[in-house]
This record gives sequence, C-alpha cells and structure tokens, in this order.
Amino acid sequence: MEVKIKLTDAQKEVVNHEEGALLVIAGPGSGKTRVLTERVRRLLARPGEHFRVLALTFTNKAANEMAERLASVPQVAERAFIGTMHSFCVEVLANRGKSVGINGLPNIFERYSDRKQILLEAVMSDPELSNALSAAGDNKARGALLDNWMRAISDYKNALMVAEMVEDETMRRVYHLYDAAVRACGAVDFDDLLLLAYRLFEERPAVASFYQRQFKYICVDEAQDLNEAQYRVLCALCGKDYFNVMMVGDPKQAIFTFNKADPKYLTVFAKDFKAKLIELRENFRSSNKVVAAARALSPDYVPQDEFPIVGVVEITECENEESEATFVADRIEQLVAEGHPDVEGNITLEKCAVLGRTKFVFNHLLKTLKDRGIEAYKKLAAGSVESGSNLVRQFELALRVLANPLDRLHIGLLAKEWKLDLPTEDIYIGRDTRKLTGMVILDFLIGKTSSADAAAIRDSVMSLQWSDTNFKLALGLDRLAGLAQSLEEEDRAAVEQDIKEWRQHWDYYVRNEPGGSHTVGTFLSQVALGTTQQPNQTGVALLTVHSAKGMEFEVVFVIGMNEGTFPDYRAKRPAEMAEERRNAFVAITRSRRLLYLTFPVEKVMPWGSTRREAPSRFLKPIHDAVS
Amino acid sequence: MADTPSIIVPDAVEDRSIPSAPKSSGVLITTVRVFNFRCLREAEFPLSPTTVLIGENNAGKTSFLEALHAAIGIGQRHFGIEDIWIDSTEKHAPKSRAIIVDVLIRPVDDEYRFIDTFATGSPWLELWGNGIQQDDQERDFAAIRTQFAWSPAKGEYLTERKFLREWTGELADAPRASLVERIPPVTISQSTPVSLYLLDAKRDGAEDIRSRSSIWHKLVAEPGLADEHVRAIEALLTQVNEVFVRESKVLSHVKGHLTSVGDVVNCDKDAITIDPVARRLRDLSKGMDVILSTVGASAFPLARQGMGTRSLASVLMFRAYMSWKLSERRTEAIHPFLAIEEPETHLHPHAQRSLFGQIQQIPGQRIISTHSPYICSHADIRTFLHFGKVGSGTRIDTFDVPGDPLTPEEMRKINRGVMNTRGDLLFSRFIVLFEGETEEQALPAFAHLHWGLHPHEVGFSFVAVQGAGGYTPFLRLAIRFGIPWCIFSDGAVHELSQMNGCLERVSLPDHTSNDRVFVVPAGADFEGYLSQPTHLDLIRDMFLELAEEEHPMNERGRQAARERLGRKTASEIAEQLRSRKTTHAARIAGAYAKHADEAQRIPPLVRKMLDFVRPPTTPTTPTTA
Repeated sequence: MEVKIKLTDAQKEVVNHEEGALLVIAGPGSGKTRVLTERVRRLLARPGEHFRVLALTFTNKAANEMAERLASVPQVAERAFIGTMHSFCVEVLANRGKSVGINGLPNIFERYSDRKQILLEAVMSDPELSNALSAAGDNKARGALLDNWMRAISDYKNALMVAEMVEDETMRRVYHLYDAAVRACGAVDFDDLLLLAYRLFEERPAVASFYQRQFKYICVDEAQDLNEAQYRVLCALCGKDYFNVMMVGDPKQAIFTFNKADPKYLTVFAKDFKAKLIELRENFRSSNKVVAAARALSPDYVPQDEFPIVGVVEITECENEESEATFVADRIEQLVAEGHPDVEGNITLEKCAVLGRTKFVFNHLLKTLKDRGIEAYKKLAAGSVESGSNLVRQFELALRVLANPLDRLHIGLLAKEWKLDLPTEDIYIGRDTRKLTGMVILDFLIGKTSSADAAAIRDSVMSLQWSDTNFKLALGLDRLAGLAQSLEEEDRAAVEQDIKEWRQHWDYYVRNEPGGSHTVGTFLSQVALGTTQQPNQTGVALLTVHSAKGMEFEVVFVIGMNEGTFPDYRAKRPAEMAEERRNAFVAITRSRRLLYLTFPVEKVMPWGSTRREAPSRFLKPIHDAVS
Repeated sequence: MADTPSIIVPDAVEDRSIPSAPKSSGVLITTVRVFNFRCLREAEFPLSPTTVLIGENNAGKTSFLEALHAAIGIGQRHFGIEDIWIDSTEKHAPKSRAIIVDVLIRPVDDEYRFIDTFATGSPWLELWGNGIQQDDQERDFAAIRTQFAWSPAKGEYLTERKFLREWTGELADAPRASLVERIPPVTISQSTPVSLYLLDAKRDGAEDIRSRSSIWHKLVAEPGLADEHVRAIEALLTQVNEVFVRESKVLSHVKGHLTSVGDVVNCDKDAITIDPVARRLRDLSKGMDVILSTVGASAFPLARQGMGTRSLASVLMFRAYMSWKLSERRTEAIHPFLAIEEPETHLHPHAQRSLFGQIQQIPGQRIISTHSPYICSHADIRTFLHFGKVGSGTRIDTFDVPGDPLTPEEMRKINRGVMNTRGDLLFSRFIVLFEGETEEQALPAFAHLHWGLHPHEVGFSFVAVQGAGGYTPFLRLAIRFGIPWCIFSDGAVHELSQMNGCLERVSLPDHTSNDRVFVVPAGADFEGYLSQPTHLDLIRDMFLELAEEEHPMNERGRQAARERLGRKTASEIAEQLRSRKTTHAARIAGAYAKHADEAQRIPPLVRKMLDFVRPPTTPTTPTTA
C-alpha cells in the first residue's frame, strides 16, 4: 500500500511545471512515478485545451502501471500514448512509414537465432562473404564470426547508420545483405524500429511535425537508460522548436550501459533542450537501514529526509547454494507466518522478491521452493516466447507464415521441421505475391510433407477462424491441446506447458488490444514487443537485477553475492565495475523494508566439481554501514 | 382573484443575446465516396461549404443523402441488406459485396479555405489523433470509412467505422485503400462531431416540437435558467394550480373523492393534489409550443400553421440549435453538417428567394437538394452537383472540373448572366440557344405549332443569349451538367464567326461539322430568312392587322396601307420585322400558320431544328455532349 503523503515542494514543482524542457533527477523511492503520473493528470485536466500527451517508459510493465494510475482521468486512453519507445516507433512506422519502406504494421524478427540464420543464408548467397566465412575455420569459429557481424550491424544501426554510410567494404556488404534479406521477408529487427523512425522524422519533417502538434507534452521515464539511437529519435521527433519534454532519470541507477545506454544523455538533454533541473532527493520507499546500505555503495547518494522506519539489512553466509536456498525459503516461510514489525500488515509471497545478478543463481532456489510448495515465478526478458515442444513450435511458425506470407525465414524453418528440402524461393514462382496468403503457402508445404504433425498443424490453423481482420488463437490452441492427447506423457506435458504460456499472452492481448480487432500480425508483434507479458503474477518474484528495474518489494533477498557472480566475472574495466556497483545499488534499493543479502561459500560448477568463492566486494561496505 | 400570481424575478435579466459562433469549425468534409448503395454503385461527391444538389427525380439525390446519413448521421437510419446495390441480373447481393461510404475531411481556416495542417491545440487533432494521416503533399486529412459488410465470424451484416490510411487518387481503387493500423475503430465520440443532420422532405416543425428525439427537445430540455429563477417559477406554478383547483368546481369535486384513497392505502390525506398545470419546470418544457401570428391574423400554434411555415420552422430550429451549441462550446470539436431536402417545399417563390439567405446563416457545412430555380439562382454554380440518370445508374457532374477551370470572368458571366436570370435552365431537359428577341418569341411559338405542346410544358428551354458572342456560359452549363442543347444561329458572317468562337472556347467543332448547330442559310439573319417570297403576303397581312390594332383606320386608309405594304420588297419586309422585334416576332408564327399549304407553315430550318430537339412525346434520355 502506498503511503498517502502530500507532495513535497520539489515534487510540486515537477507536477506544476508548464512549458519548456524539464530534467528531473529522481533517486530511488523519491516518488518518481507519482510525480510523472500526477503531472500528466494535471496537464490533461486543464479545461478548454486540446492536445495529447506522449509518455515513454522503459518497460511495458512501467507503461501498464502508469496507465493504471491514470485510469481515472477521463479519456486517458485517447489522450495519452503510454508505451515504450519501441512500441511508439511501431505505431509511427505502421501508419506513416511508407517513405522508409514500411507499409503497414511491421513484422518484427525478435529472436537472435532467427536473425543470425538470416545473416547466414544471406552471406552464403554471396561468394566473397561465404569464402570469408569458411576461411574463419570450424563451426565454432564461423559462429563467432557471424556473432561479430551481428554485433557490428546492431552497432551501426544504433549509431543510426544505414549500410551506405559504412566505410569498411566487407561490413557494408554484410550489413546490406542482411538488411535486404530481412526486408525480403517483409520484416524488421528491433534496431530497425529506431533507425527507421529516426530516418522518417529526419527525412519527412511533416511527420515529426504531426506528432509535435498532436503531442503537446512528452515525458520520458528512466531516461538514464536511453541509448544514442533512442535519444536521437527523440531529438528528431522534437525538431528544432519543440521543447515540452520532461525527462526523469537517475544516473545512479544506470544499469544498461552494456546495452549502449548511457546516463550522459541526461546531461546532453539538459544542454540541448535548455532544460530546467529539479532534483528529487527524498526516499519515501526504503527503510533507514536499506538507505544506509545503498549509501555504502554510492556515498554521494544523500536522501534529504530520514525515513522513520529502521528496517533490516542482514548479510548471511551460507555453506553452499543449497543451504542458501534453504535459508531463503526458511526466512520467507517465517516472515509470511509471523509478519514483521517494520512491515505494515501481513507479509504475502507477492511482497517478497529474490534478486540475482543473472538467472543462473536461481537453479537451487527454484527446486527448493518447489519442494516446499512455495509459489514463485520467474520474470523472463521481454520478447519472444520459447516454445519447448515441437508441436507448438511448428504451430507458432505456421502463425508467422499466416501473418506474413513473405516471411521466407520462417517458411524455411517450418519446411525444415517437416523435413522438406526445397528452396523457399520456389514457393513464390508463378504466384502473385500481392495476392498470396499464408494459408496458400501452408497448404503448399503440407501437400509436400509426410510429417505426421503437419495435419495437426493444419487442423489447428483452420480452427483459428482466421480472416484479415480477426482470428481466435484460443480455438486453435484448444484444437492443438485436443490433438496432443494422443502424445506420450512427457511430450504432452511439454505441449501443455507451451499452450498455457501462449494462452496467457493471448488473454492479455485480447484484453488490451484497442477496439477488439485481432489479427495474427498485431498479436505476434505485440508478443515480440513484450506488451503481452503478464503484469502481475502470484508468488515470490525471482528477478534478475535488470528485470527488477522500476519495481519495489517489502522484502528483498539478493542471493549469490559472490565475487565473480555479483560483480560479474566479465566486469574488468573500471567503467564495467562501476556499472556492477550501480547494479548492486539498484538491487538493494528495490527493498522497501527488509533486505537480506546472502552468499554461498562453495559453489558447484557446471562441470560438477565444487569451488570456493569469495564474498562480493560490495558486502563489506554494506556490513560496515549497517552494523 | 385575491392572489393573482405574479412573477418574482430575483435578478435583473442579463444580456441574453447569443454570442457569435466561431466562423468555421476548422474542418470541411470535402469528398464523399459511396459504393454499392442502392442505385449508387460507385460514385464520388465533391462537397463545398454549401453544396447544391440538382437533377431529375430518381437520379440518386436522396440515395446519396441517405447513404451519408446512415454512415455518419444523427438519427435512426441504418444500413440494411435491401440497401445493397444489385445488378439487374442478380436476385440478391452476394455476401462479398459491402456498402462503403468514405468521408474525406480536411482542415480549413476561418474562411473555409484549405490549410495544410491541423494546428497545435486543434480539438480535431486531439479527437482523432493518429487517425489523422498525411497525403503525399504532407497535408493532413482524416478519412472515415463506414462499411456495412457480411461478417462470416458473426454470421450477420455489421456496420464498422474505421480511419483510412490513404485516400486513393482513383475512385475505383478506394475500396482497397488501407486502414490505419494500431488504433481502435472510429468511436461514436469521434464521429459525432461531424455527424450529418438530415432535414428530409417530410420535416415538420410542429412534429419536432412533439417528438422527444428532435433538435427542439435537445434545445429546450436545458433552458438554462438560474436556480433561483427555477424556484421562483415553480412556486408560481404551485400557486397557479391551487387557484385553478379551488376555483374549478369540477376539480374540487374530483379532488374530494380522490382524497378517500387515503382511507384505503396508507397515505397522507393532504398528499392528494391535482395539478392542472405541470408543477416542475422540467415537465412543463415538454408542453412548450411556438405561437405564430402573421400580420393581421390572430395567433395560432405552429401545429395549426400551413406546411410551408412548419417546414421552414424545422429548418430555423436547426439553425437555432447549431448556433447555440457552437456559442456554448466554442473550443470543442463541432462541425455542424446539415442536409436539407427541398427546402422550398410549400413555399411561395418570394419566400424561396429569401430562403437561401436564411440557410446560408446556418453555421457549418450544408447540402441542399432542390428543384427550385429561385434557390439555385442565389447559389454559386461551382457548388452544384448535377445528378443524371444513365441507364440504371447515376452520373454526377460538377460545373468546375479539375484540369479545365473557368476563368473568373467566365464564372462571373455564368453567375450573373445565367444563374441570376435563368436558374430554371439547370432543370431543363433541352436547351435551345439563339441570339435575339425574334427567335425568343417566334421559336417557341413554332414549336407549339409543330408539336402541339408549348416547350414549357415539357421542360424545354428556349434561351436568347443576347448577341452572338454570348453562347459560351450557356454551353458550359449544358455540357457540364449533361443537358442536351442546340443552337439556332444567324447566317451573317460576323455573327457566325462570333458563334463559332464560342464553340471553340468549349472545345467543340464549328458549325460546318456540328449537327447541333442550325444556321440560317445564305448569310441571312432570322428576319431575312422568315421574309420568304412564299410568305410575304401573310407577313404583310400581319403588319396590316397590327397597324389596325394600333390605329383604327377606315377602308381607304386600309387600302392605302395594303398598297404600301404590297410595294415593299422582301428585304424591306425583313427590315420592318427587325424594327419592332418583340411585337412582330410574337405574331410571326401566327402569320405562318395561316399558310394554305400545311408543309409551308413552319420554315424548313426551324422544322429541322425542332425535329432534332425531338418531339416531346418520346421519353427523353440524357445525352452527353
């Protein structure tokens, strides 16, 4: 429950800010989300004015949260676009992207493996590049070269460079071939969304002007995690004469610099937009001890007022990961059973989170929690659904083909699943691609294959009641589930697990899609953008630090606080170590009241042997600060 | 009466004059496209701030208005399966056929001139948001599609409204235009501000006052009185009721009996009252009426007035409603959009003349369908849509076509020279053009003689263009609106070349290869042509008769006059005909009619021309020039 307190003077200043650029530096728990939403609420409540507001968040979850908080504002759904920058770019490109080659809703290739496959095929079609690839050596070396190329392409795109701007001839060719292949599939990748939106705004100022006129105010949350491309898309959108941008961020919580994000854009923004600066330095979230622990990691973090609740920070040394898991499970059970004087009301599982630097630290804990019957959920990274079962994977591929008959990549993958050895291009010979539907292609493949699954996939696809404007995934999943009854138990379980996940995405999509028009294309793109992620789940949250961004819990455990794990063993340079420190800062400040830091003395390595591990370097200063 | 009610008004009455409405709503509906609605298989309608629909009955005017009304109108009209266009060979429409009505909306300034973009703060930008798109010239537009189509999933026909992403250049491509992605269908709150109000031919102000769903009720439901006024009036109403019942023996008697209800059911005896007049102001307004007293007559409620007044009242009520609404909500997105069918209904020609001005004062955009030359003569001809029947379909013609615009001078000529005087031409089934007064008098008379019907009776117009250079505006009018025409021209060299110049200006061949042009032979004018030797005596008789009517004469005088006339040559007779054209021309056909040989009673060229115009007994089919 949020403590209802009056706005502080600084908060009021943010909420009441009118025209012009504004930079808000907001520490953890300083009421950042609150001032953001209150400002939007106040702007929209001004009588007799007509405009919309663009609110860009870092995650879909944050967007959902803001939308929920603003739900009581009349017509907020019409008057405010709340979403991630990627979602916004998709909206822009879908309707106005013609001049940059996007006609209609773009199909997104979100999976790295898919894109790498595209690059591989594109490279193989080019004699010179295929030579270069084979010259790299064995499979592993070739894979590494492809990875390098993929990274380079992504870097160019994030630097907003099109292929023609690349100086290195080989790289220009790689980039060009990859892009051409993705476009031939009628698709884009995530980096394209920003690059194309940037080009659109730059090349057609009238489009940028339209959004400037429509959105009188722009708000950007978590601005410390903007990267070059995102910042420049924003600048291109704003043009020379638009200044009503508010950025809210905290350089201390910048944890995505490995992803090319950089808190420097806060400063750049302040300069470029001549922004007024307001700092929110109170912490209304965390108990005294938690704040002290945070300060131990970031000494210049000085919240203004002290919070009246003392709270808990405990560091616990464990024998090994198993006993670490036992400790966490014990403590959760104890807290749920007994409560805690520093936590208002009952402690439920949903008030607890276990954080780790990477998802690998949760292996033992998952098993222990499961054995004890403690419900828990893992928050996956936004993006693709990983179907574990063959049947559902084929079904998903069929959906992609249905949505985009030009999707040569997934047609090829489906053909491979069905053991068909035919060049994808053959499918298009003698067909008018403008009139081609995905169903024609599916029927073509099904007609050729002898795979037993093909008939089941066709059955399920046929039951989708698919049209240009509507389809019903649930019916297809029902059919698929029915057909899976004949499978071996283990396979059936896998299918059912997958179907359950897809049902959740569908359910969330149907409830949130504007106007009840459901197409296969929009559904898949919303899944790719992560907007169909379940917002609230039940049980204990198991989160990586990065996926915990922007969240808060009464009780937080951070496990695996070992050297090599947290900080990550790959962090060597000072800048990387500084980011690890910010990671720890973010992890700690997710806690409102109670914070438990644990580390195992001994770890079992993937190859079976055990190794002794040192406690994290971050523990010592915290220990000193709170004891 | 001791306690005669008197109105106690708490405050001085404030200024109740209506603040002026904003000049324009900021948008204009510029084009409507209709597919598969009744007789409109595929049609495009360009609209102006005021658009005037003209054309024969059953040419599709009402279909257009009803299609538009079912698409974005206020009221109870909806699309039905029977509205779907079917081919003459079809029994019913195939499921794949959908009714489509596309509406193109563009931003305009205060003077209804187009501007490229909606400005920041425009209520339309807020209202439609991403529904607004840009065309290839980066100009903002909003296009709303209403589609009535079979839904296989639902198993029924459904009406859906969506924003279009593009407005296709070609009409035929429009049904395949792409829709705006990632936004919900057009909501009621997004379409209502541009809704069409249709005042159809059956409108009746008296009916409006009774009907709950009318504009009248929207207006009077909230009369906008201050609370203290409401209290004062209601107190007064209570007083009125008390006096009424007390002074009425019948009501007192009834009340006494009703009081015994209290003996049976559990209620207070004092709780029984009779309200002869509604006690609450809200109820009272339901019985509101409009009383009209015309000059020198006693006052009658609207329901007792003639249909002309009631019809007009309905139009004026709409005007009141819109100007009120606009003044109340100045910054909101409201585009008043009105269609009036035959506003001239039941009105005297003089009233029809002033009606256009009244309609022009209705704020917003208007469509007027009319058969009234009086109304047409006041409108700008560029705003006309002419509906013509072509087979079972409809052809829409506009006066100003892109690619061949009129010069301002030509516009002026048409509006002043044609529309102000000859608005009826728009409704003609055939237009016969010629230079001067003699033809104007003589040709209709010859036609009457030849056909046995006067041209007026069959909707044919005979028009003097006032000089051989004056054909162009009339030709434009006839050609653009697909009205068949012909020219009866003098043969004199100068006149002929002027007339040919007019033909050239409208890109038509000259008289030597144009079968619509009838030229008096041998370089003569009409008077010369009429003065044929075979008819000279008849014309002489005509002059004599005329002379006698004007100056009664005795036998000697008559003889002298006859001799004088008898000495006149053909050219002198012709000259005399030219001298008092109107007087002489009116009688010339009468003179010809007296010829003993029936075949000689109509000059051959006139006969040829009249046969070209076609005897009116055969049904006319529109031809295009």
